Amino acid sequence: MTTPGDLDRFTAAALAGLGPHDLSRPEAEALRARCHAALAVRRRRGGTRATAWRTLYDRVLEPAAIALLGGAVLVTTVLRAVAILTGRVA
Amino acid sequence: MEQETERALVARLRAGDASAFDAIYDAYRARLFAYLLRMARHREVAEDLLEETWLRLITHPPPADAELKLTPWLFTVARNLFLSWSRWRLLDAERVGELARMTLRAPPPPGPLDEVARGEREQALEQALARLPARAREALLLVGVEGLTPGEAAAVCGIAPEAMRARLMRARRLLAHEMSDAASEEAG
Repeated sequence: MTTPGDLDRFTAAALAGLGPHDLSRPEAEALRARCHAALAVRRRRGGTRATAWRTLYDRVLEPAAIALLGGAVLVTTVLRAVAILTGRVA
Repeated sequence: MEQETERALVARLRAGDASAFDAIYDAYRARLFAYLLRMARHREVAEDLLEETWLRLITHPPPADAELKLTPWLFTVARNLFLSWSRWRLLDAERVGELARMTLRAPPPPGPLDEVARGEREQALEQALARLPARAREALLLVGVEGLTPGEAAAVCGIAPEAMRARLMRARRLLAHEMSDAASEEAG
């Protein structure tokens, strides 16, 4: 039987019967070990909260600070240039 | 795996519990690998993308709240990584021609899937799946092979459930067409 949007019984059975695919046991264990190492690194850094703080710092705070500093330097430079050009500075 | 169990495991994983990671890894490793292998059609690529998926779970785990559905979350990450890889491959100038031919659905060369496919029927189905356009293939893999509901598969693909149902209909027709083409080629 075919229902709109869903798979008919034949296709569903054929797809569900497809054989599994997996890593070999040594590959799976090596990958597990690498993931455990990554987990240990994250744990040392203080878990998800620290990661979230780090992400906030990297993506928002640091770029904002650099933008503010850059903006201040730019404004100062422009104001000085205008002052020089208009003869207000000797 | 029940949602309650998944939530508890993710909460422990967020606290850095390796045994929670192991439980998730053992439950989903083969499913994610089979999905990535059938999408990418290269074992090495599937292995790399699988590792990236697990590292993403470790570095950016989902919130362990009432909304958590781990299966769609993991398949979404795997799918996004596969799409990134596909885009990178598209940008690789040397492969542009190859990719254009792939989208015209030329039969792929025999790969690792062919070696492990059990029986002629299953091998024919694997090959027919491999010839489908990626969108059709992923719809059938997510719903037909991985057992996600059309709604969950729609969330993974970032489309409306109705669009996923339509995509499934088209995919099923394409698959039947590919299977009948293969059968008539064998008969002829």
